[in-house]
Amino acid sequence: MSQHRNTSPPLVILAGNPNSGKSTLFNFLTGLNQHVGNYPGVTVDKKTGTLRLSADFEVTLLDLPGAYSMYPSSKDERVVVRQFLSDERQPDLIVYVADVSQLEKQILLLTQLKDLGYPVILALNMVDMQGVTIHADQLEEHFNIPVVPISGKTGIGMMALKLQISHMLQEPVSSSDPYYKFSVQEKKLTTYFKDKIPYPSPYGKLLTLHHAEWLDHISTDLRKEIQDKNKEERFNSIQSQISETLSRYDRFTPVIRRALHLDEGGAGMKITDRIDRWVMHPVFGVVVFFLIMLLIFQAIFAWAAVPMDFIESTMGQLGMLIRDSFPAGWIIDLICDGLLAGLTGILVFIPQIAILFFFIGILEEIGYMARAVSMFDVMMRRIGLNGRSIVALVSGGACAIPAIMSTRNISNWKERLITIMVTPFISCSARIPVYAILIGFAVPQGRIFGFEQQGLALMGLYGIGIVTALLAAYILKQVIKSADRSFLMMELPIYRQPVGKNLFFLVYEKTKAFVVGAGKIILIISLVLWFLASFGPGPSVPVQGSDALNTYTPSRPALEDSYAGILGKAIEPVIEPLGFDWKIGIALICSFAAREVFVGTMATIYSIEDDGDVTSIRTSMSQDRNSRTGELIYTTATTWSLLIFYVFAMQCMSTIAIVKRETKSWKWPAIQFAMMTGLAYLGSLVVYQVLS
Amino acid sequence: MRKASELHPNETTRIISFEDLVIAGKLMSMGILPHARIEMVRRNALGQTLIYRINNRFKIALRRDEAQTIIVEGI
Repeated sequence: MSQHRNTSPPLVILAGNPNSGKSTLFNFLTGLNQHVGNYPGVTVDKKTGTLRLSADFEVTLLDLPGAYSMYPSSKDERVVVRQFLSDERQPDLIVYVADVSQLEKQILLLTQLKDLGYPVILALNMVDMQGVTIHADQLEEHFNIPVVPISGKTGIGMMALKLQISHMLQEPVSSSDPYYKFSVQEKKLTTYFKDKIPYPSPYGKLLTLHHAEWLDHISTDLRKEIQDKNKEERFNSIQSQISETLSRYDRFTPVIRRALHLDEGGAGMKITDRIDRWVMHPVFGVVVFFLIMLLIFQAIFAWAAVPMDFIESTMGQLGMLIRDSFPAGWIIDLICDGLLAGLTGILVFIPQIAILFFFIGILEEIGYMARAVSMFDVMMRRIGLNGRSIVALVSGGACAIPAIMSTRNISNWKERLITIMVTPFISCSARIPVYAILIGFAVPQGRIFGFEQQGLALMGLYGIGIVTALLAAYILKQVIKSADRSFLMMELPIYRQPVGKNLFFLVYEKTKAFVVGAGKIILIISLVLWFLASFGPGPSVPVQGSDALNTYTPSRPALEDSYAGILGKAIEPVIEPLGFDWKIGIALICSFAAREVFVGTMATIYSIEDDGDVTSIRTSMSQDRNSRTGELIYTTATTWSLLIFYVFAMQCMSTIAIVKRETKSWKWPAIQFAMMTGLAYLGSLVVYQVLS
Repeated sequence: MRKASELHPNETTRIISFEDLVIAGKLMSMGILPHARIEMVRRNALGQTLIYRINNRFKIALRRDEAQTIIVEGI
């Protein structure tokens, strides 16, 4: 296992249960030297980093997702087993992290990893917690592995852990004595496949027999043979798993009871109970949740607006600077209206993403998220979602992009997919300017039952979005097939202080994931849109060639003569039944970049210099008449139809890009686009035909 | 046979066995085994989500249909 030494640094894997403090330790050990990738086939973060043990000795550290055992129950949890059993590079050492206050329930996986034949160090985390006494020597003796007490939060024991890691890499000790003694049947089967399953340890062979169905590195022939043999021997995988688990617990439980002393109600349990009495109350709990969400919402709107404005105005000034410094030409147009606009479209989302994940991180770190999930589980499950979906749906009210990114920890694929598919129905902040400009045409000012009519209409639009999201989830639940069973079984950890470092890395990773993962697609789409809006087949098409560039004077075709304009006119017959004319058609096409572009497009169409001048835009729109019939365009019917269109339609390239990233295929964003735009068409059609 | 879902709030008893093997496998790997002390902490969401304390150590939220597969002591 140590032949790698000369070529690449040794591989050390951090393993442990969820809530063991593994990630805190990982962040402590690697700091900024970490990289987040993806496990193949699933959207589970694969975190690797470099740990420097001495001046010339570095190791690669891999932070495995938290797992309870080598018997996964969802696709996402399988990455842990795959890491060890498949052709992946084998670790030179495993550092097993366990929360000392929950030790007796966090040791099962340790004994399984030991049986796979790896050298293991047990890092006992949170030894600085009050009311905990642990005799590490007794554990060392029983498990025959080094045990290091640490605290990932304060850094206690880090030196000792690093020394132990160096030591174990130089002189690896792995016990050959299996912790779990196979049953007669298990022995017989593993002996039969002794040479056929390449994995060295007998326990690895046994696990391959258990998981042959989905382990994809083994050949089809071998899989078939295993399945036949299992059937022949009447090997009951679940039964065997249960007796293995029980047998392991039987061995280590008495040892841990002797080695660990916990004060009654210690280790934060008393405080946790006191907080839970309120936070998990059937009525107050829900109130508390929505208060927290309201707070987050306020923070997003209040805090994100400043950096967002800053990004937009800086990029705008940069564009002007470029225009002033260089002779006009299509290249400058490309840079300013295509490239810079696309870049702005990416950067402008960063504040919202960062703020939302900062708060989600806090909720996750202190242990509140598990509670929120358990509270909304029943309601959400009925409509095909997961308790965690509530966070995505509520966040969708600010912006669908961070909301969709937050679905990553829904481990049931079907529930995660449905959440991703329906979240964009929730009216996001980008729809507000469109609603604001249009609602005036649809609803006259005035009060009804003491309420502002326009405000009620706005609320109604939000309501339609929410109801549609829930209905769509319910329908998708019936349509999408899934073999995965869904469970709640959610541990409610004790409340803890959030670790600043963990929050920093979460925000950093999510922001980077968006910029890198979705940025390219956003840039390409905005370049295409720029091309469509700036060029047309008419005589003003710029001549190619370097000579022509210098002499070319910018005579961009008017928007209506551009390809976008032609497209807008071409789709007029299609959108006419909705009450839209070609001008609205252009706005719809341009809105695909982002919904708020609607306002800017209207300004361009009506040749209004300042697109912040909403009053002029509205005046022009209200006076506009259909060129053929001479009727006013923005009648109540058309406006309502357009509003409904904006409620439903998928008009956000950034959302499409992030859905592509999170579902790892173009299939789902394509279905989502078709579903939302189709619904928008139908909805608008019905509204217009009924109202006109 | 009494099920964990039938416990009253604050009532404590012991787990005897599990009826669903898949759920049993998952519960066991999370540290919930036969003979474990089990206390119902509260019922939430109209009794559809149940919160338990296990061995006086940690809390876990179970769906009602998950808790129904846990057989406990008492009549």
